[in-house]
Amino acid sequence: MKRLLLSLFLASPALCQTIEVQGGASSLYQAQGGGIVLYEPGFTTTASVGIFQGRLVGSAATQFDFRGWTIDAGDKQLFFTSGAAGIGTANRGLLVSRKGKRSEVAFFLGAVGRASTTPFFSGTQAFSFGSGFTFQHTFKRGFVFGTIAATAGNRHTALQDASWKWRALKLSETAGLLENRTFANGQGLIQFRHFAATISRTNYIFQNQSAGVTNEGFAALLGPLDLHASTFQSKGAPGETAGGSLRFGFLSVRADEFWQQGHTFSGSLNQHVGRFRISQYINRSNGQTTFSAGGGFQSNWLSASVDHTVLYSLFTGKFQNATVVTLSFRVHDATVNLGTVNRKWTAYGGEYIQTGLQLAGENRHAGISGHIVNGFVRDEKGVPVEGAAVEIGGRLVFSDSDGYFEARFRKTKPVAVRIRPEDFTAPGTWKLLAAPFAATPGDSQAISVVVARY
Amino acid sequence: MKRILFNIIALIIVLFVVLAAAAVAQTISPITQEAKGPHARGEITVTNQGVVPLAVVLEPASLLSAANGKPTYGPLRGVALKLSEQSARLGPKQTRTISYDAKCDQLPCAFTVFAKFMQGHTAQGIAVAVHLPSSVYVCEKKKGCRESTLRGLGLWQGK
Repeated sequence: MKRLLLSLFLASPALCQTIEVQGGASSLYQAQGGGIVLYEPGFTTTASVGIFQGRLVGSAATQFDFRGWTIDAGDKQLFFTSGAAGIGTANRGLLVSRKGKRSEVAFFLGAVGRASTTPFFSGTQAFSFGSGFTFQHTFKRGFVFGTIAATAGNRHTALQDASWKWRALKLSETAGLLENRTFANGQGLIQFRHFAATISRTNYIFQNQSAGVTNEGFAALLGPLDLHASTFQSKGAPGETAGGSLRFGFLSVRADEFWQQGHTFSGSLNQHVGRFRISQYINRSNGQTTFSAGGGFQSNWLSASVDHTVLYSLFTGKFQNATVVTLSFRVHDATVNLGTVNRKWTAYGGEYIQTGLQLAGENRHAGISGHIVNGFVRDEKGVPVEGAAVEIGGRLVFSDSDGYFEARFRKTKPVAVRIRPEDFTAPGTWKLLAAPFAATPGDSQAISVVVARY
Repeated sequence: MKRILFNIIALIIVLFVVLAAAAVAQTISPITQEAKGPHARGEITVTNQGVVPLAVVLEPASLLSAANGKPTYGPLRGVALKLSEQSARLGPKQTRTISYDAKCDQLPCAFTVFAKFMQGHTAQGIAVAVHLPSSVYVCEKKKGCRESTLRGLGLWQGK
């Protein structure tokens, strides 16, 4: 039985249509590693391993469809959302999901923990038991009901959400237990073609602290002009924002003001000319003004950009300057990406390896070309041969039960004719007795091919 | 106990693989089409749902009436039919759309295009082919064309 299992797993790469191999290193992520993705008919299997911040981590998973259900077995990052809230965790186990016209449902069961994710590999560390499900159903008359029930270690979530939409008005509420804490959110939104207004009350939870925030906002979209403004009030951090943007041809301008324990202004000017982009930024915060600029080039095989910008860090709660340099190029099926952010670098690459099997896809022949090459395949006794493979001008065609074959071409330029006995679908070992080397599309005379069985 | 559990898991995996392989098939669509004639254009889509490449050959045939009420097919008559491709090689999970252009000598007329799926080369044994039909009914009016054509041929089985 072990040998049978081993042969099945070893047969998996042999069935693959495409194999994707990725690897890289980064001082920004403090990680080195790589991964492989096997694309098989109906299955996608991934495996990766690496060192992330000094720890050896890895992950392996396979995804396939079974009777309308999508099954993920192995390591998978889960994100379940219910209205205005949701949960995310890394699961090592089973995820079964199904999406219908009106309903969505998903179940998971396994060991949960944290995921270490980089652009070139991901690893999962599972610590404790987890299970749960999510369900959402859209009823008639605009009613939507959703729920999440999940246990991930000692964190328990039980959320319900309901929403109702009538013309431009949408009312929604989400309430319940979000990772052991009470959570409630109510929201009203009215949205027209050029104007939208929203009001909401939310109980936020962040780093073991909770705070209620009331938010009112409006937005207007008038052709190329986009205006937005909002206010938010809470015990710790009341504030206001206002801004607008304008797009005009290759030029776009955006300006935003923030009032929250001080005053911050940010503005940007972007120009897109062909494949080139040039950007300028200005930022004024607490009496300090900074300018930054950047630019980039993008094409099918090469993209490069240098940006000196101001980023807002959610972790520090401060704006900080950052120089971001990225270079990405593609040669055939291989890609290489290089990047730095404030002297922290990331480099990774990938390669697609095509196996002998063809990729799934659609090949569409919308038009019927006028110039035809046709003929008959017969054996030495004159009996039609069905399933004979004939390559005409690079196209592989097969003969029917009358031995007839044809191929259509747009031009009357002569094309090569080659008989391929190794691709005959007719049983037996075949040899070629007579056939022309070339044919002219549109020629009224049919080709005659004579073959014989050994 | 551990060995039994291992064998059960292995059996489940083997069953999954076998069932997944058995679930695949070849398809053709649409099965029937109605068109306004005498000049009709349309498309036929063939799909290889399997994981091995297949050869597909399209063979048109005329729908003939029969005394016992069962449909029979014969050589194409009364229709000048052009296909964008008469045959093709379909890769795993590959779909191919083939256009047709038909001119009927008189209306109503009907023809069927059989897609014959054949697997790759074998030195010995027999060739196994799957024949899937796609029928086209051409009338002066598109609506109810199939019914009126089959009634004319004495093949209508509906109420």
